[in-house]
Amino acid sequence: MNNIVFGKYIPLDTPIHRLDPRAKILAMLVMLVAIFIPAGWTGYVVLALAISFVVKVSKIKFKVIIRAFRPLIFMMCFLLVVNILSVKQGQLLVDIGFVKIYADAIFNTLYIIIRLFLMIMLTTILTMMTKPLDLTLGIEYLLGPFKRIGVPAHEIAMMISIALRFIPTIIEETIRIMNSQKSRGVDFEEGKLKEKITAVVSLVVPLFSVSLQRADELANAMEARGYVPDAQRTRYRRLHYVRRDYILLVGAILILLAMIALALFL
Amino acid sequence: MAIKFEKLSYIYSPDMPYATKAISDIDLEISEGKITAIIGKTGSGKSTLIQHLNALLLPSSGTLTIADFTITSDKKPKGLKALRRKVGLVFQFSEYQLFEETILKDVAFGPKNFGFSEEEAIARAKEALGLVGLDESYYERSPLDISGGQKRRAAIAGILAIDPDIIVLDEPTAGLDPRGTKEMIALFSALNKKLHKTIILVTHDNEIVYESADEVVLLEDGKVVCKQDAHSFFEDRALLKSHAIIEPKIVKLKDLLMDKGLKLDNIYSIQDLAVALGGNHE
Amino acid sequence: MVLYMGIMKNVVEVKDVYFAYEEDNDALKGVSFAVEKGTYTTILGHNGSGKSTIAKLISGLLVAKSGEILIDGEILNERSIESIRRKLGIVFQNPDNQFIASSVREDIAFGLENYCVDPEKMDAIIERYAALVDMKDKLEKEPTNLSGGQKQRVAIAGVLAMQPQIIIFDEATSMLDPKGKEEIKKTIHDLHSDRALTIISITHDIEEALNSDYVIVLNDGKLYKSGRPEDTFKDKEGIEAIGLDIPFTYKVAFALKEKGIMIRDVAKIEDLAEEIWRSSLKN
Repeated sequence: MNNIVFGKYIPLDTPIHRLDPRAKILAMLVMLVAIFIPAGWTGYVVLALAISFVVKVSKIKFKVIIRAFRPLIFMMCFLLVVNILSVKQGQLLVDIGFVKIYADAIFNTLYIIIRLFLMIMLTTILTMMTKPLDLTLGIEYLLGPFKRIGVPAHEIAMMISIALRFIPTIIEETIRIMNSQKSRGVDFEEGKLKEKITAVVSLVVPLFSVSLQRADELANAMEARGYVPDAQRTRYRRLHYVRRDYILLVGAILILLAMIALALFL
Repeated sequence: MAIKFEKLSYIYSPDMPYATKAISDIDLEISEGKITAIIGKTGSGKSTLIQHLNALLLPSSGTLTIADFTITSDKKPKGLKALRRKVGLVFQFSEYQLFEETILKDVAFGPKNFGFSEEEAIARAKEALGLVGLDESYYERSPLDISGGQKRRAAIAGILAIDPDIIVLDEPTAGLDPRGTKEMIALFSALNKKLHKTIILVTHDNEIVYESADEVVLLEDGKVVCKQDAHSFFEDRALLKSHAIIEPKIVKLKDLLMDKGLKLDNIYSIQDLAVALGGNHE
Repeated sequence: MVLYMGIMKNVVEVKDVYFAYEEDNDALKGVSFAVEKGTYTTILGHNGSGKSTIAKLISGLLVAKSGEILIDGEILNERSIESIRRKLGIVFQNPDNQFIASSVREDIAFGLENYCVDPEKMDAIIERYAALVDMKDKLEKEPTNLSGGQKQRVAIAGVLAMQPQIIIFDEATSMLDPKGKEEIKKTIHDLHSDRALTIISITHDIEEALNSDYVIVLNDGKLYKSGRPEDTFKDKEGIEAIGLDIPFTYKVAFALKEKGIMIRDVAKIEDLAEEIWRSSLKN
């Protein structure tokens, strides 16, 4: 269950928490673009410093972020192997007969790993420091201008917020059904392939039918309280940009520009 | 199949700052062949306690002995399957465990998992469905197409088909209508009296406890307050009052009448009361 | 057929309503009844008797196959549904499946948003109704940190915030523990104390029915009986035959009658004890 906790909101009160979710989402997008600009090692040092500064302000322990990275270790190793087998450029580092490792293979992998690591750091900061509800509200506001070209911004936000609201409920439900089936002799950890499939079916089918029932009841409750998907409605929570939000956005854009400059002139 | 908890504690998320002791230092023996009700407020540790009976949770400390099975904080308990065959757990809203295409197949699922042959599993399923009062006409129906009360009974049959010696039922009457509730009480009473199953009943409904249980275990804040004979438990007014336990209605009426000066003894049901009072008149 | 032609106005009228979830299998087979304004009416019936279907029809979540439903004198149909919905709130059975937002405050706001209430005014409304159900100190809580009874109280506040005339409770206490049940029953009772609201409660709780103004009993999609609770529960055999129960005090009175002890039917155990004690003095 630990993987599910990854990126989970931490209710603290830091400057990052207080930022407008729209500013945070936009800044993150700008930074993601910056990460993908090939600005060499200097660029990565700049980015790493900038992101580390945010982490420092956010009071999250680095350990927690490293933990979020852990599920990806397997992928990293896989990448490394693929790179070693396919990249045949740069200085030859190791040569043991059939295995030849070139410097570029290592560098390429490192580049990807660093990019991934920075990206995960960014998204983790965003989700840990922003209430899920604020996040969806931010998305809704940001998608607002696209309503004219048919993007159902409000519906998307409503779907995300309901999904987020029901995650804990569904986890609870999953545990309960798993326990019921364990009592009926199902072994979720071991067994032959056929047994494993039955085990999964015995969990997924009830979970699916309960979720459908929930969805039906939830739809009734929403309708009874006057919700009509495409109708006009007011919003209780509204967002306002303040000074710190502009500072964040300007900062992010400056870093992006710096990266572009580095890529062009170095 | 005696059940014995010794100094058993369970802590949720022990490594986290918000670790909570769900149950602590449980010393408890549950008698064989009886109906034992476990009562207590929501959050008193009832469901944590019963999950140990199937090693779904392993104790943080202490031991649980069920016949020749011993469960400790040891990570990999041996003989899990054999234990789960002996102790059947019927969870709250158990109807949500149904998943096969037909009711018969669903009920036979348990026995098959425990290594019975297809024919034997089907035979056991048929027997179990008979016990819960679902006749042949239900065998080939989808478990999703029957009423809530019938689903509940099909789910219980799924456990009965495994033929466990001990049957644990968590809120088996929740959401049932009065008739469904009566049938459920009749079912587990029959399992106890006729098939000599040990029944452990977790419920909030003290009327059901008073009507059907032999013994009562009261949990509060993860600790056992007492374990007592059901009738004497509900007659201990001071105890009920200090733990805010709702008296069964018949007990309340009897207490009120005795306070007014009527002499009443051995009143456990409306019928007992009618006989006692009627006797005075004749 | 209108059952209670009093001076009071009928706020809900159900006239010969049929409904089927699947063809050739009517869940409701011609049900008629009326609910007077400001009363507390309970609807009883075994599971599958059609009680919840009635609640969904009245609140316009389902549409009847035939027959007519009038809310506050207005015929319920596609055109009137929006205005009718503002007069009527419903609290469902499952506390989890009607908690839509991620905090108490925002869940109460949900209905207000749908009715385009000015956001500036929402806080005052939210706080007023949260206080009414005794949840004012838990406004920032998330649903996972609330008990079933608390979630149901939030649902009630959410409904109240829309200022309906009628509130339907569709087995709203059946999934709660005794404490939660008591909380909700007390909340409903308090809400009804000034008789401004009409309450319709679909329930298995016989004692709640006994304390209500009127009881409507459904059986297999038909109206079995309706009237004042004290009259309804006199029919012990009939009520038990359709899978329901009669109140404890009535059961005792019946058992005593069989032994030749005649006492009056009363609702409270305390009064029952008084009755029995008095009758014992006479002998």
